[in-house]
Amino acid sequence: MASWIPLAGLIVLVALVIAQLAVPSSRAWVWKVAAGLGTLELAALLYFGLVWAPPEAFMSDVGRILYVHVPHVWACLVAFTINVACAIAYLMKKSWRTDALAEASAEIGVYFGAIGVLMGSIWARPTWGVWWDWDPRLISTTVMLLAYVGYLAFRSFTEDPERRAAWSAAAAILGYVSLPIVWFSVRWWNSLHQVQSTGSTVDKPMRAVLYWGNVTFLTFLLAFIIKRYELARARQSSALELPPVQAPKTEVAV
Amino acid sequence: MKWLSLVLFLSLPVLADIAKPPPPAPAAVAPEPQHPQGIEKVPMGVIEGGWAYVYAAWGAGLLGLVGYAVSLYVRRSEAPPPGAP
Amino acid sequence: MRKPRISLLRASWLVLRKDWMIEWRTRARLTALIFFSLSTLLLFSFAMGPDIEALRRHAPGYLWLALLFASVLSLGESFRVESENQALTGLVVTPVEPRAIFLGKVFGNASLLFGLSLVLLPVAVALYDIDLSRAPLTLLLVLFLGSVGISAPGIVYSAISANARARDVMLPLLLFPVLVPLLLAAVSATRFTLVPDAQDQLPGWLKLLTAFDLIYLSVGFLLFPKVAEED
Repeated sequence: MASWIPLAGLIVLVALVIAQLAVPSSRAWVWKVAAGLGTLELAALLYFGLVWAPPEAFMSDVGRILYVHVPHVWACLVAFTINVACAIAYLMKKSWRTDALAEASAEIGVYFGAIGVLMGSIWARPTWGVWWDWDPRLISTTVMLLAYVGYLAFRSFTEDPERRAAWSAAAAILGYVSLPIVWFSVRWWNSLHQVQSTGSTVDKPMRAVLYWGNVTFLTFLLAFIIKRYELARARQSSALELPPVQAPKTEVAV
Repeated sequence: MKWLSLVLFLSLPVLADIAKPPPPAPAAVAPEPQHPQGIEKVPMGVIEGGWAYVYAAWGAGLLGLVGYAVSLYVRRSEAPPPGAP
Repeated sequence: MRKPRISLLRASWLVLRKDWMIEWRTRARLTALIFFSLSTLLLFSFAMGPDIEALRRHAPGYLWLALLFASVLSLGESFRVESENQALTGLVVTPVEPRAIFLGKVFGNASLLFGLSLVLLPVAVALYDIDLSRAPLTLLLVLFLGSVGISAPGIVYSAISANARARDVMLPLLLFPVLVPLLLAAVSATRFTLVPDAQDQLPGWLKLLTAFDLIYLSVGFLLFPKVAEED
């Protein structure tokens, strides 16, 4: 796989995002295109990741988990970043749309994160000999995941939509802030015991496949977020007949 | 979340399968392992096989995608018809 | 935002004093909290068995876990006393900045936890055979920083979970993930005040603790008005 192919996929993905955000008439089909494109990319990833790519130098074939594990964690972090951006935006300017997007991205982030951590655990078994280890990336992703599981539970346990929106935004920000601190604390703790070898020696063709995996799962992320967002909006309108929080015109287009 | 937990639960047999003791002993370093690029004296400890782990991880990813898509499809009745404002 | 008629610090002090007064008037609850954490310490010692070497090695972890569990109770109470009789509404509509409520409550809760840790220390000496005389002042500093670190995010979470359903589950569910780095830093720092600190790691952990406190104090300071204004 040439190294420009993932870049092309990324450009298509960005174009889809821009279409979804800027062109209202495209909203009926963007998610379909994203889902179809994601499926095609996934088929290509299956071939390139499992057959085409050479075995990794140190981990041989087990290294192929990289091509799905890392993209899942990336998609998870992207989703949580969208979530916390929505939380900040909501606290600055109340809008049901940012609240719905926050809910959508949190759930999808938890999904990608759970699968990603599961894959990381499967990967850790043959490479490190254990299912679980004090790896800063693993721990900080898991802590983040737990914080967002709490966030989702909190959302489902709060009745009043306005309070839920404001309070869960605060909870999201507090949870997200902990990410760098967890990272550093686990790294410092780790320096006591052992230094984990970070597989930084990823060869060029492998890097292309890895980026291709990232594009693939980010495309799925887009499709999922659009559908989950529509669901959240529908729930809002059925739950509260959409009373204007401040004034209807303050709603930002998402 | 309901679906997510279902997917995780379904992937448990896969985990249980690979949880069996890995047959090859990776500690038994092959005589004079050679780095593909020719860097010598690097303790390589190349892992033999391990495809079960690869299939488990990729399978979890695929199952997750399908499962989450199905969960969105099941919940679609609450969403407006496509193209609605 | 309303113009505060009194300065922020003065208002925080008043809230803090009010909380202390409530704690003092409901001493029975305070006693229950102390005995709860004491029995937690005792249970850890039972669960580990009579291996005094292992107990001594893990004593900082047990101490901080006992404090963490106690903090869930005290944080939950911190807003429960307010939600009875709509007292928080009264507090918010008074010309007191919500930020003053935040600061007052954080330090009220932190002082409670700090006092609790002072009670727990002699018991930990008895149960786990630790040596407090190595760096007592640093140990006190670690305990204080840790108490503030638990309270700063804890007060915000307590405020938002006080009115949710299943609030007793919700508070630890939200709070514990955020406190993971604090627990790591506090346990490590406490350990190096109890045992020889060969590689001079204590300053690093103290810095991490301080950074955690400052980050969460400022984030909570910014967020608290947003979550309190709805009441």
